[in-house]
Amino acid sequence: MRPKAALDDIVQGAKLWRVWLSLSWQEFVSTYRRSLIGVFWVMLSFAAFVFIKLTIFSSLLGADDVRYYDAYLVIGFFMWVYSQQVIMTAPDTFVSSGGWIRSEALPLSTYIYKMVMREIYNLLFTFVVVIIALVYLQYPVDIKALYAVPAILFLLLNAFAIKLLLGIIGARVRDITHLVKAIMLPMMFLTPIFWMPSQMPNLMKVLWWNPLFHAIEIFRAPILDGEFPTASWIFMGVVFLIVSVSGFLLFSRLRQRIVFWF
Amino acid sequence: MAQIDAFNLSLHYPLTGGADRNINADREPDSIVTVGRKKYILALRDVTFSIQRGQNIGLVGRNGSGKSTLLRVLGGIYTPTSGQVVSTGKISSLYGMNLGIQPDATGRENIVFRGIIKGWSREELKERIPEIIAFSELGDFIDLPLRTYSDGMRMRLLFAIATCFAPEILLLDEWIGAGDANFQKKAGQRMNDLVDEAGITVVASHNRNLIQSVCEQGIWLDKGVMRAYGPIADVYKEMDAHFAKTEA
Repeated sequence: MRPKAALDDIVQGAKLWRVWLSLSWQEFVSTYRRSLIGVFWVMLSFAAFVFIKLTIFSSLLGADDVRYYDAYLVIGFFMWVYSQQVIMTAPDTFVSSGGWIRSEALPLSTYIYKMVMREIYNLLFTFVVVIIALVYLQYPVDIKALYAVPAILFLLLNAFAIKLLLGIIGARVRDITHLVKAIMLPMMFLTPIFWMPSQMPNLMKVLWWNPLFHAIEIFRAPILDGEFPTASWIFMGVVFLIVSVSGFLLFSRLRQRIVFWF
Repeated sequence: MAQIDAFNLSLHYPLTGGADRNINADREPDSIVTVGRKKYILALRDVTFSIQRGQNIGLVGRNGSGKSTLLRVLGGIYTPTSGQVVSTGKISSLYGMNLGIQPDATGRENIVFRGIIKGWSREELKERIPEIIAFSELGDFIDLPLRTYSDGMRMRLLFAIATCFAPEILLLDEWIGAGDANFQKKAGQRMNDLVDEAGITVVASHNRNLIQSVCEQGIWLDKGVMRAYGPIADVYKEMDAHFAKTEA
């Protein structure tokens, strides 16, 4: 158990911002290299998904207030894509950087920062679509929508903690990658994105304990309703505490051993 | 001023990911220990040495003798199970041609990544890039993705990057196999320059000709134990005598 060295790793890794900025951007861009419209595929594929969902689910579920429902779906789906991406790629955080870990004596947190940066690029590109959609819907947005800013920053902090925890477990137990994928698929339907909590009050009593609901809610509620969802913030605060503390303890214990697992 | 001191270095390499199930500790009593339910390879056992500045060390020994492990301990990649390494001097290392690179990025971009990792400033990068390209003899290939390179080209580039900033300690693992004779000569020359400036190079290789042409000193590792350390000719003599005896 070496908590001081683990903390030092996280601090020193942050200082290497030039390393993780350049590596993450190259990896992000190279996914689309040699394609005609390049990184705009991120936006396009998200936009296509949003458009199809709007045409199908809007008429199906948004009976009362179509415009409200459409905005609800766009913002919720945006956050869903982000959350899903953060969690599904987390077990590969260290595995995908195995070659670097075995050849450079860098702080391991460097690779976590790199992964979080890639989430940020995705966020920025897809958020453009959200803005376009909200403008198109002429959805009235309150000044209180700015509560979404601390929410997204907090969720990025969460992403770091999740990647730390799952990254270590995923490097040691390779089943985790597959397990996480298997869990996330049904979660898409168990999280209120396409349907609203008010439409399924009974089911919601159980699904209220789904952290993904609160992760989405702290971002969605300010924009959609001009509300600060206190309960969801508290819930997410507890989640963050559990994930970050367990991730940090694991990191303190296993940091020097991770390199032997590739 | 470069110097490397190793005190009683031991490294137990944990067997994980199912590898532990396929190996039998009773059959390999020499190299494997079981602690609790976990199995470890004894990759280094109680290794002690002191390398002074201006030395070119050849790390020799058979496959699995601990050469790569020792290099990684010296480079700070592996933390030893017990004992310690104290080294002074800026370290540059090359552990393999497929490690520490972005295969989809161009040669030029990879120079930048490795430069940034080494902490070069923007100006230093600008200054060094032409020099690295020239030394690696890559020409226009420098703007193609690394995955299109042959082993020799990749090795030339990585060697050029690793040595361009006059490291005080250079750690090389089996790097020479892929280079042609001309480049090997150039690389050997550069290593000698480094040592002339009171640096240290440690090269692990099975290529006896290479080792004998660039190294004056040698360390022989056998199953993680350091059997000899001294002038390279003596080290080889001892090693040959040992294997001649045990395999007769």
